[in-house]
Amino acid sequence: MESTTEVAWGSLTLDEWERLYRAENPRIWRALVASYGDPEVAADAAAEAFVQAIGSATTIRDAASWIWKAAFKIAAGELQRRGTLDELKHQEVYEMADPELPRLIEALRQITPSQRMVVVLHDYADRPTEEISAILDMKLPTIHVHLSQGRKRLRDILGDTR
Amino acid sequence: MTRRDLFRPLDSIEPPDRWAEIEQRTAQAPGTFSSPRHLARTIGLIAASFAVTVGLVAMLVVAFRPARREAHPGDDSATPSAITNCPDVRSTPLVLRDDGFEVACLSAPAGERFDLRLENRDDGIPHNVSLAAVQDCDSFEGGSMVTCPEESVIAQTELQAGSVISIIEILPLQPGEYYFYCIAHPAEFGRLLVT
Repeated sequence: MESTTEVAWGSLTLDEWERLYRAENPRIWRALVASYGDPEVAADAAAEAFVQAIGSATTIRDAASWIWKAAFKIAAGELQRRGTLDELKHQEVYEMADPELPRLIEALRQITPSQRMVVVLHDYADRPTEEISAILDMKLPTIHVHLSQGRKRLRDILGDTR
Repeated sequence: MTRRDLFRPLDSIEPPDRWAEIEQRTAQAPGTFSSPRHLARTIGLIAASFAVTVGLVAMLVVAFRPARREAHPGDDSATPSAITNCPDVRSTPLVLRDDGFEVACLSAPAGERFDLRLENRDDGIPHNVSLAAVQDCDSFEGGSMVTCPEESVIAQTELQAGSVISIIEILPLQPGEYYFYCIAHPAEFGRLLVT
């Protein structure tokens, strides 16, 4: 999937910010849910990231990239504060979802938090590895190791040999 | 199964729509949107802020000229020698309160490791501290804001909601001037003088 929005430096109109929100927020939220497992924290973090981005609009060169980074950092900070970071939980939000979702979440729960976030950000959210490196404060080679190992482990767990 | 197919079940869940809340919160902090409904208020506030700033600056220049330069480390015209009496980072925590750092500058020894301690005292508000060389950053809005490219960041703490304390170890630095700043709030910054 291609990144839907790349916003250059400069002021956006309210309508443009809303379009950016509509385009990016669902994937940001789902990626946060898949990474951290808490839909409420995910929604709060994504909303807070947009508020901060709009407040810093004149200093941001790539709004979408900035928001992805801020949302993940805010969510990690909040879960760390609660002492529940790295506890991927099942939530009632999945009840009405695709029947395969609980299986995917369970598989994600079984790989390491770093592998999980890297795989989700890269393979689901299509974020470039350089951006993932900035989001997770990891060096690029480390990102590649987590991506490779996380993918393999996920496929093993899900029984996908293709 | 492609990598994308693996994650397809994720697309079956939908996030809550928080746009109305975002719009309301940002409208309370004018100067951000450029749409017509915000523009008039933004222009009015900018004009008022400018008038107040000019008045305050004039008063400060007359009455406390040396002190003013210390209080505005982001001023583009400030030279290294213009900033003095900066507390030692090894004995002074970097306190962030009411959306601003309590100190305008800190000092540190060149070529030595030291800890930078951030105390975010803004309850519920995410802040961090990042460090970058002054020459790698852009100062704008009359020196009231700073932005530094990500690749220039020497060290930084996690962006976390207060109240929280974060400590990062800074590896030995070359002599010079560095900005410490919050990545989420470009108006929150100060200078670290390494000598």
